[in-house]
Amino acid sequence: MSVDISVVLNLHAEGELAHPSLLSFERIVERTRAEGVTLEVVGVLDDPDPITRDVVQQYADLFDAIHLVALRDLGLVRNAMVEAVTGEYVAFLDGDDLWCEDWLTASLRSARAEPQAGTVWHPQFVLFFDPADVAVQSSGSTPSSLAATYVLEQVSTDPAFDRRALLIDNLWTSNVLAPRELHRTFPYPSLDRERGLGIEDWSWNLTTVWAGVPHRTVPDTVHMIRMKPEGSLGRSNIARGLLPHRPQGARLLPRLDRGPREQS
Amino acid sequence: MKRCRRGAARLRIPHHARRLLSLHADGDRYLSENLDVSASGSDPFVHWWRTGAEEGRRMPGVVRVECRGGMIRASSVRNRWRALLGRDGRRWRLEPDPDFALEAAFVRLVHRHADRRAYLAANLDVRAADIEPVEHWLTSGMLQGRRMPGLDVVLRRPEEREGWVRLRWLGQDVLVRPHEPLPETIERAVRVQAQFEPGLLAAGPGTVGSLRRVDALDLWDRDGLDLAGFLAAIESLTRSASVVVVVPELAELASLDAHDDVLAELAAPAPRDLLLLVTRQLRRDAPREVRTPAGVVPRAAAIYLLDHRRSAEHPDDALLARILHALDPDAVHGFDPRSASSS
Repeated sequence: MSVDISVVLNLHAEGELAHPSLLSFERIVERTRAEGVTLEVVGVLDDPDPITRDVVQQYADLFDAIHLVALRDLGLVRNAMVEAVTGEYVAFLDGDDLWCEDWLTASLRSARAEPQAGTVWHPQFVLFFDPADVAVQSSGSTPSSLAATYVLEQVSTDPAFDRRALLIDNLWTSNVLAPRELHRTFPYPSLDRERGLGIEDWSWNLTTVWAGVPHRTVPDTVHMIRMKPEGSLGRSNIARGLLPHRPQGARLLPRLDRGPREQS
Repeated sequence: MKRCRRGAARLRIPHHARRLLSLHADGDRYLSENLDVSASGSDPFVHWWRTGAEEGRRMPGVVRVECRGGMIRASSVRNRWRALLGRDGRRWRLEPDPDFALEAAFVRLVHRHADRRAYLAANLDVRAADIEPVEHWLTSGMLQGRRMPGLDVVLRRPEEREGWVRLRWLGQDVLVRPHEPLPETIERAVRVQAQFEPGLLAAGPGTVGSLRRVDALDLWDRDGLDLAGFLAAIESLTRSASVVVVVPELAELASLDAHDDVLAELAAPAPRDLLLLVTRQLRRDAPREVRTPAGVVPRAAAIYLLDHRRSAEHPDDALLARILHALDPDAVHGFDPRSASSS
């Protein structure tokens, strides 16, 4: 039987925080299967800590396969999973996030309705939540100005989109659904610590956008991300001192054509 | 300055000024705050127009009034108001200001969508000063980078964006978008997941629909960078940037430890294959020119990063690194005398 979506949950050192994510994951899998979508459910643990390994073990029945790897590089892990799975589409989810339960069905519906097959799909909204906001919790409908929790509305590469914005900061989270063949065509770059280059998702977004691959959002879907102490969406990479791999020709300004003598 | 008699003044308040005051100002409150005016029986708008502004009296609701070059518009600078009044005396030549309708529309839109209570809750100094929140935000809060709940506003970004309305305020283009509450389907989805992770509702169980909203392209909100304006400024100076020179302030070029050819190119007229980036100074604060061993570098030769930042905070090194990475020059000449490091 052909697989519609291979959904891959990445885990590393989430520890106890993997519990709510796995419960959310269980819900999304149940809901998607109930809608008649054929799923291949895969977990991958990259050099996990003991707690994370134990937590995932408690949910082992959820998975068709759990891969244990020691690549210590999320980009390489994703590439390995793309080769290991069989679905027409691949959806990547990260092990400390939560997702609306219809993410997979809604994104598959959007993908199937899209005339251009090679499209990357993102949730429309991302809720960055900070559990520490409980200290400034509002009893009304207006959140405290001190609350860190906020909602990001992701963008589609519509005609008004200026792809150069992506050179300054990442615009989409790692939560994507895309054809497996597209992932094989555009593998994630590996971490290059010597040159300070990494940030697999940002780099992959740059590569695909510069190659003309559309990125679109799926209406009425939300991805929920726990804010880490260093912040979110690229902040952790900045804290690590990393910058993304830039594809050939991706720069803020066009380079002047120079003669061979000048180039030397 | 030549003063006119009060009776004549009552007759000579310009029509456009009265229209503007009627739209924005609170004459009753002016009278309640100025009992001498109230006791004299003067018309509050006429009194403020002819004498009150010069005397430093505040007209509640009025942001600024000036008459210059046949235009009338809102402002908050009383000094300029006085000077203009003195220059023109009683002979006003007023013509419709094309900005006026856009500014009035902006004010109307702000009044309609602003969440005053949330603004006061977030700005305790405004609440303590008992200032009307919309008035505060329009006159100063917006320029101070304060957020008005209920609205998204972008200044200094010229390009049109879907779902945003372009209006004018304080002589600038303003893109404004009334704050759309989060769709109910999303609120519901978050509540469902909160059974697994209560932290999702940490800001308040009832706040999900009114959480702060950020558009992914609002780089202002994320890095404080007006990317479109920054790129436009760069493109006005160079089509290429194979060399980028970074200095905190323009005057420090005089002591820049760089190759002579770099300095010579800095002093050369445009177009150049070099970009001069000033990171800790506004253009208006830079000297008109700087003398270097290789020639004079004019103020206009540089891009001023702070001009494209939402706040006057200096960009952190990480943002600068990303900008340089995105520019992709062949060489970067960096110089910061504060840290005595150069590369």
